[in-house]
Amino acid sequence: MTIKRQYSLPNCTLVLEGLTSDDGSAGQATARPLMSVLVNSECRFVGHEKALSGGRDFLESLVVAVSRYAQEFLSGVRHPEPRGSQALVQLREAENRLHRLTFRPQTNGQNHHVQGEPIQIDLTTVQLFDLVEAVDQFFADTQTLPDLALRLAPVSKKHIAAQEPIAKRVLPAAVGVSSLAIAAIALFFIPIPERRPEPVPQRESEQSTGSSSTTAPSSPPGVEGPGNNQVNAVQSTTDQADVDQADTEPSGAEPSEVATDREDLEVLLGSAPPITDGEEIRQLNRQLRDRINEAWDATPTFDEDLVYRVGVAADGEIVGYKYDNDAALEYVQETPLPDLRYLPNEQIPNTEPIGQFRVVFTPGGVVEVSPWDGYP
Amino acid sequence: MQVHSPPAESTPLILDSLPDPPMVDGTCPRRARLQIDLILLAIEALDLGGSEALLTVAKELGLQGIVKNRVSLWRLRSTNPLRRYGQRRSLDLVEAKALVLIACHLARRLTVLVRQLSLAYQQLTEKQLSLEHHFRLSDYLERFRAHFRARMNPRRAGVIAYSTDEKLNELALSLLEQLLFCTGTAGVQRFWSSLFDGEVA
Repeated sequence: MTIKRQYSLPNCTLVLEGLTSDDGSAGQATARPLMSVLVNSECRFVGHEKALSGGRDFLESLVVAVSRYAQEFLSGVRHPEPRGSQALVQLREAENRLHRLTFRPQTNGQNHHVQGEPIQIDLTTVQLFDLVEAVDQFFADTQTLPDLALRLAPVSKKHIAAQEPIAKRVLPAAVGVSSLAIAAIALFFIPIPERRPEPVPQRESEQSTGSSSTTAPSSPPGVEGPGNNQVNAVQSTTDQADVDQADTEPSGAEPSEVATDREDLEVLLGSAPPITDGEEIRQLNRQLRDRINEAWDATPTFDEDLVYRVGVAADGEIVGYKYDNDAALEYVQETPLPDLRYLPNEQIPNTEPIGQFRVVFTPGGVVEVSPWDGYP
Repeated sequence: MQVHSPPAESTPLILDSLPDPPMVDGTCPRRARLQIDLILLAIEALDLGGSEALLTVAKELGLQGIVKNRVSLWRLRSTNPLRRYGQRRSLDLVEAKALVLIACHLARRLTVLVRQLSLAYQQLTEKQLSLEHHFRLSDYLERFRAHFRARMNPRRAGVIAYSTDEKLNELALSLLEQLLFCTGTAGVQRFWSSLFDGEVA
């Protein structure tokens, strides 16, 4: 008994003719017998006079292609074509939002028919929907070829091709890496900043250059340390430098000061002509003693004599002093000598005569002053 | 036997009609959240009573456990990453199924209208007339554009892609065609499956 099943939609009609294996022996008059074998199927579209028809292969190919294409249409993701398909029916996108259905009828060798010409139908979206609906209704019909049923599975990630071309995707990464490389090369050429040597060693060198500059008074003041901007270039006398050192450096820097003082005084005393006039020496002696007595008002804490060799200029100013014993070095701050020392603004001309006196500070608080070389 | 707590709500049976895709972490992918929200947006643009109808249909289908009220519906829809006040929560598979069922149910109610508009669009493109000629269609497009611009975050790249009227019209029309497919016999299953295309392992 042949059965005809028809699924009609406004734009598309799907007709299936087949046989049932149900021989009715069960005694029930089934209103709708199960169609288990397909003889012929036909798919007709409104507006196209050519209908697609074929057997089971055609139907299978049709429903698989339609279902796949519908999913593609809904998600926009390409579904892979089933392998081994005979490609009887193919659905592709066409221009103008149309869908091209291509049917390549292949008849089997038994009928000795030549392969038919491919039929191409362009479907609008509504027609396509009607086709999909017809197929879905067929799937849903459990009494018709129940082995062909709706099977939907989302496409796996592996199957989707990259949405954008590889060149465009690689571009931002390439730009990033290349800009990093360019920046690295550019920064490579910036020199490492040089570290300035610290000011203290410069002052040391400046002191030594300062002491040597007294021997050559015409040497430019700029010989002194370049980095030491505390020293006025005009104040280039060694004493001036020494006193600046004494003023600016903490009292812990005395030893260096002592050494330079000794050196300077040596140089000074060695180079300056001595005052030899006896009357002048006596006068200077008195002046010196008075001056020191006046200035010295501290209670001595030392217990031995402090002996100094003091250089005095013709006008009575103390131009320098030298320690003559260790105690003198230790307790120099208790004597008024550092304060009384005369600080000329310009370099002392070495031609000025200097008188040298021996000054002794006793623990008893008495100052003894006498000429270094003795009374003439 | 004493029962101290109310019986646990079982998930509505209707949700079982949609299979669970093999997602890695039981939540919806980004594209799915976007797609669901856009379909709902298209439904609202089609029919003036759309927003209210969504809640009514939820109740009809027995899904009010998932979509309790307007606010929870808004929160579910706002998982769409392009929304202005996007919720940084993920969308469960259960919640997504509920929204899809509601959407397709409403789409089926609007079958006639959707079909009419699709045919009109087809004819207008064939004759190469502008879309203004069909009143209902241009109405739909205008409402869709207004809803989209009002709700989507204009700073997102995905939204900037739809900055012109033409692009929004194209989007609206493609959503209309998808709605057409949602009205079919197997529309729900097809739509549900298409949401996960390219997202499953």
